[in-house]
Amino acid sequence: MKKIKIYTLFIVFLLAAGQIVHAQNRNVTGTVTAAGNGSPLIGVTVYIQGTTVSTVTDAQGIYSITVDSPEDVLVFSTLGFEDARVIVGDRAVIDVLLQETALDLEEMVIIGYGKTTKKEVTGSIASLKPEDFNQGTFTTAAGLLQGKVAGLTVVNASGGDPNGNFEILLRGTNSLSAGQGPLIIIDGVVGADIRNINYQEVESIDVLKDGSAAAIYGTRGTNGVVIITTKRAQAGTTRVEYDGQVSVQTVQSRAIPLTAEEFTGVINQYKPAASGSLYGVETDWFKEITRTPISHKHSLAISGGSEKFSHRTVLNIEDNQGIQKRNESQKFLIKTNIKQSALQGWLDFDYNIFGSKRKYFPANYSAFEQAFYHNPTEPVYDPENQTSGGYYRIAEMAYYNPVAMINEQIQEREADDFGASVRATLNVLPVVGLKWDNFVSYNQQRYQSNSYRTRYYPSSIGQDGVASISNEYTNDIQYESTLNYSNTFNKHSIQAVLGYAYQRQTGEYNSMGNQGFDTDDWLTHNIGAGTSLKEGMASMYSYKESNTYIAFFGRVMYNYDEKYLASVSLRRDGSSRFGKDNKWGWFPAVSLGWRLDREEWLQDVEWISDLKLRAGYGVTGNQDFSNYKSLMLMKVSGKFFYNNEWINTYAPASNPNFDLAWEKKAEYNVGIDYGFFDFRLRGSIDYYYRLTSNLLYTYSVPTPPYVYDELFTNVGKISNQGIEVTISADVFKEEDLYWNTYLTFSKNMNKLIAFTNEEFQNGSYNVGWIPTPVGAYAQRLEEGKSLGSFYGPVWLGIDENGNDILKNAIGGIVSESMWENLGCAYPNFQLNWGNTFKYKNFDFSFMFRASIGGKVFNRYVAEYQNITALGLKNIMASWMDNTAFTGNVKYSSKYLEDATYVKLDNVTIGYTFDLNNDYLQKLRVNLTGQNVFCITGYSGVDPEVSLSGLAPGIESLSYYPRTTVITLGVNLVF
Amino acid sequence: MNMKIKYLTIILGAATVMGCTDLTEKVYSEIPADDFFKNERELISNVGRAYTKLQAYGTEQSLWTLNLQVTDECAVPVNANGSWTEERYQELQYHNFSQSNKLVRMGWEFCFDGVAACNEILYTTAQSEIDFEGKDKILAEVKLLRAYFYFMGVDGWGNVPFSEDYSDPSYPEQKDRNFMFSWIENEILENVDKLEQNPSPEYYGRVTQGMAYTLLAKLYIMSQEWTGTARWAEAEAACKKVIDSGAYMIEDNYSDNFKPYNENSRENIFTIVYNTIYTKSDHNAFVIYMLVLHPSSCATFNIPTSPWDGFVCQPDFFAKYDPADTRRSDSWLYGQQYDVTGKPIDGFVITPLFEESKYRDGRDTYDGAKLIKWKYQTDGLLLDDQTSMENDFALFRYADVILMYAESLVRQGRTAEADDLEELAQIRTRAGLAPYPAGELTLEELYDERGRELAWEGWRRQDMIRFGKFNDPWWAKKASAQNKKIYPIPREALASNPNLVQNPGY
Repeated sequence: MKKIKIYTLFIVFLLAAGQIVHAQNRNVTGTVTAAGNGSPLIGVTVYIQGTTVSTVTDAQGIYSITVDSPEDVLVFSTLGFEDARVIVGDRAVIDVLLQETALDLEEMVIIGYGKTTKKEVTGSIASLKPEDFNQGTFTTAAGLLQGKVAGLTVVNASGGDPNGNFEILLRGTNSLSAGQGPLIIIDGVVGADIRNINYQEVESIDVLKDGSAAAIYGTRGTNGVVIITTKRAQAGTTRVEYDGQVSVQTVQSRAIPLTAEEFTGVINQYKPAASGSLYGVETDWFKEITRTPISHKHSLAISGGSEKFSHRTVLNIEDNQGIQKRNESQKFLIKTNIKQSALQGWLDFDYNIFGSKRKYFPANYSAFEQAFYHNPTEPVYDPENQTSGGYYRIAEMAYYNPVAMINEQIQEREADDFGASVRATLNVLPVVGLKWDNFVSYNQQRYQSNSYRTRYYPSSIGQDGVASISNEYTNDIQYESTLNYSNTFNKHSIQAVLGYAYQRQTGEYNSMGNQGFDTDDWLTHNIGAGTSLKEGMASMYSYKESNTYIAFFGRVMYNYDEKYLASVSLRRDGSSRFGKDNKWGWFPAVSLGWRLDREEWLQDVEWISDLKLRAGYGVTGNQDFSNYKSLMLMKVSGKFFYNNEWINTYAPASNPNFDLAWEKKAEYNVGIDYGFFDFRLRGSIDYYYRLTSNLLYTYSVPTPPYVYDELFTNVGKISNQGIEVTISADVFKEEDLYWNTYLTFSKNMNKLIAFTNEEFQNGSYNVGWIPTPVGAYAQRLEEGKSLGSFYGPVWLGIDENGNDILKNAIGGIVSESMWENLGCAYPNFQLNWGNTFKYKNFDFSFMFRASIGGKVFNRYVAEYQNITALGLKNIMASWMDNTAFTGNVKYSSKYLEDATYVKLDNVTIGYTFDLNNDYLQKLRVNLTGQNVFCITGYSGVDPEVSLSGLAPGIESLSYYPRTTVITLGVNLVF
Repeated sequence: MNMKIKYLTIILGAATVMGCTDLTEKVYSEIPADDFFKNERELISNVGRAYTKLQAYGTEQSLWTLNLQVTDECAVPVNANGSWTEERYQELQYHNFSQSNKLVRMGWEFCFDGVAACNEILYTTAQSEIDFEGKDKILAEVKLLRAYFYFMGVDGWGNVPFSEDYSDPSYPEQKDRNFMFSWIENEILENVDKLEQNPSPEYYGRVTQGMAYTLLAKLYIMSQEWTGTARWAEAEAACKKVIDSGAYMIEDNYSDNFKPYNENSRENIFTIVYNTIYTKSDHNAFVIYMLVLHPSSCATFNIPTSPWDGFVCQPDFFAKYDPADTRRSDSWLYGQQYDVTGKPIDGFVITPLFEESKYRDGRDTYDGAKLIKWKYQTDGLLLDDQTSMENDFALFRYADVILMYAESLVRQGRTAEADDLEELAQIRTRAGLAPYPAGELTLEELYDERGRELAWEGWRRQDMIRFGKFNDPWWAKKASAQNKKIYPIPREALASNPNLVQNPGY
């Protein structure tokens, strides 16, 4: 680096040679260009060192500045380039070449309420840019992150559902009942909805992982903070970008029942008593309700403008089909970012406006389960049957024709969201580095859900149509004011922020339901016409709530010679949700960094480009629970027959808890950032220990004296500790050949340290209820053990009568006190391995994602790998490999399987055309395969099940099949 | 100009920052308790909650369905679909109760949620300065309801947590049956005179003196089991109070006490009022039809959704009826079945008697007589397990009082007086049977007669215990240990109150 700077100075010197020392107060002009390709650099700040005199370069890279004396030093500074310093001397024209900064270190990292560079970061923060993102098609921008950040688990538990959401878990489960999702901040809006941005518009994602980084977000920092920045307005000539994608899906995995032929064979051989259930037709119910879905997405972005006024406007249209017939999601999004500069650089504005409309037709998850167990020898249709609307129906069975379930229910969901924000930055120019930022945002979400079940919907036959409408209106107002100061004095560099934040959210909900319609034609659009209204069976509901957060915060970051780094922050956070005696809390953090490579004794070690030690401590909170939990409220309870009429009764809404407070997490993090061989090999290693106390949980309390047997209160403690390793290597880095390979490794160990205290003595708690016929709580909350610990009888085999042999069984039953610990749902560790190759204009990348260890409860095998209910219901095809078992289902270790898997998540091949064209600047096409295959010993649908919540690792029977997605994409820039 | 704008911005911004630090929660859809209890209507609507606590009795997993399953009148065999295999049902059938049994917990919660609600109501009502006519009376009703909840709790679990003061947040002490006997007796006697004397349409579903004396009779008749001291004479006297009030009579038609619109029955002393529209959730709906009926019966009763085909009458219990006893067909559904228009349904014939081995191996599709005592409405409104039947549930019924009266006489060696009871003869003749000839009324016969007359009304468990039958073997059940006469305290209750000690043998 040093060499580069000297080189720059040398060029500047050459250019300046021959100029004559001259007078004062004169103008200096020049052109600033990039050293690499010689293109002019726009927006480079040029100032005289030690003064406030500054200017920026124009669209041709030309600047003009008034200097006082020949000793003045001009500083040229812009993002992505090394600063250049030039002594003016006598010259009137000073042209400067700026060198691009070395990879990595100067990269901007967005931290809460500010930004810094990678080299100065002292917390554990993962910073991702578009080239790091996953490619392909996603339901939300969270998909960009899957498998990219060590310690961040992004689970897609809803398979190929076009309306599915990703579940994001950072560094284990840190809560018993409050929310577990990270705080998402999009373009400054705290708690924004990730569905309202187009993932192709994301410019960067920064994940604040440890407590010292997240503490600036106080009571909402515990689950980490994901800061998403979308592409911003850009000055320059008009630029038009188009992104288009077309994708198709095929089923990769699903629950497989007996075919009609197998069904008939198994009944004849093993259960002739059920031969009355053979109807002699062959129906593949899964096929009947599915299709090959085709989806497409289009995004058009226009940007341009002057230094004083520029914009970027994006239009995004999507239509995504699910494999289930009628399951579809449409999206329309328009968004503008405008930048404006006023008052000679004193005032900068940044406006964001978006409107989004999402319309979707949700999948009927239980139709997949019904299609699984529906008798495959039944026909789909029965034209004679008037009652069922022509669908084949056996009235007395509590199971339903899946085709009728799909066709006879019309579900429409519509979300209309709108948001606007403005950030006004006052640059107090007389004081170098002083800025005052004011940010106001308003977001509203409107959601309407309409469902109509016709008179032929299987479970509603006889009700003559069931209509329901529900509405949600929520809005969110935020105001933030921060005073920022940053400056460098010799070797001391300081960056400070002082701020205030206010947020108010209001939600209104209402719904109505009615049934008994003369015709199905109205759907939900004439809901008053149903007869149930008159009969008193119609329903009506409304509710309103609001809450307020207020925070005061400050942070000072200091470094000496970019060698010794420190950051201290403090937040005073208040929330209306907390009990009246507990409204405010303090959230401190401190972190330190030491850049060893800047020490003299390492200067000579050529291969070390960067080596930094980091250590941090920070306190965060979690208040993601519902409003009014601390208050004594009276709510309408049941009806009471009083003096010959039914009147409402009132009851306390819950046992009030006047001391209710946030969950509090203290986290220690130590880490190393490294870059070797000119950053060809780079990465980081982190170790963390986080202790969450004041855990909220609903505790059993005795009734009487309490009115209810539960109290929501702060008692327990959970710890999570783990290691995260990231290694990235540029194996080849030639002009025409590039190969990067990266590996992330993360291991987390969870432990429920305390669950009780003197007041709340609950011992162990059973969680993870698996309904009949299994009928057992599969997991226990136990002090000293990890959450997600499975308990149950140990399965030993099958006896000669075809029944399960269970360890310690008496009369076939193992008492719960004899149950054993059967393992834990959480994986031992997780690995991601990604590769990017570039050869000339071709690029190719693939990524494997692996989860090693952990248990998953296989509900399909438990419920359907037996012949008890065969006949009435279909069973797993895999029973034919396990014919020895003919008994009833009993909960045991038999159904717990290893959840280890390796998935080829993503394969992309792309080609970028060489274009020397006035009309088209860029053309790239690519082909991506997602969820290509999964290597696992698990015999269920997908071992990647939800890991959040108190009962992780239990596969649901109502599911969406996993699909492989093939996407063809094209990217054009005009 | 420019500087003015700059200063204005600075001032405006600073004002905003200083502005907001208010974190008071604004409530829209509930009422903060401080703003409540301001008038009579609000007090009454809080008091009414004590009554709504009774409504859980008729739900799927309730004290009632618990007490049914541990006796010989009811069984929940594995059905032909392989459903109802959960251990909680087998535990009850085999008297192998565990502290984690869901029904045991739900039964417990019925009793002690009720007590807790009554305590809160008594406290807040007493605290309120609002006075109105009848305030004492309605507080006496709540005290009687609390006595009933405690009575059922002590009956089921023996040793119970005792708390009568809502303002005392400490863990309740555990009290035994002797203590609780005296407390309940005292509560009834202290409050009975404050209650409404006789039933009336305005007072339907409410606690009256008739309810209080019936509860007292039930307490005394269990005295020997609870305290070791027999109090047959006191039981007799309490029953006599009900009889002498003249407010009740044996209805001519047995089913008038159970039919969908049974509020005019003069035999029902204290009922839980159910309504298809107003008691409509899984914690307050009377839904026995969902538990018993086979889906094929949808055609018989015009029920649109499939019931669960679970609870049946135990075959040996069914066999105890004289074929001439009209209560057999008034109480049970068996034989050829008909659709709602009266047409026979092809192949739908219910077999009331079946082998006990089928209890676990799975009965045949139409095995087992199904309850029809509370007649099912055929108006098509019975939709699911959250839609209540219209039939009100009589917790206390005059026929029960007469049978208790006869029993306390017989137990005191005054059989002749029992023989002469006119109402006892009415109970018999109403069922199409001859009155007991003089000298034939034995305790054994009274036990069986109570079984037939009061089948599935929730008193069989007490009867079996009082008559010493509860630990005998019966259909699909072996002999059980004496300690099974009380249930284990649910694990959740033990965990939430360190003062509670588990009952012996659990």
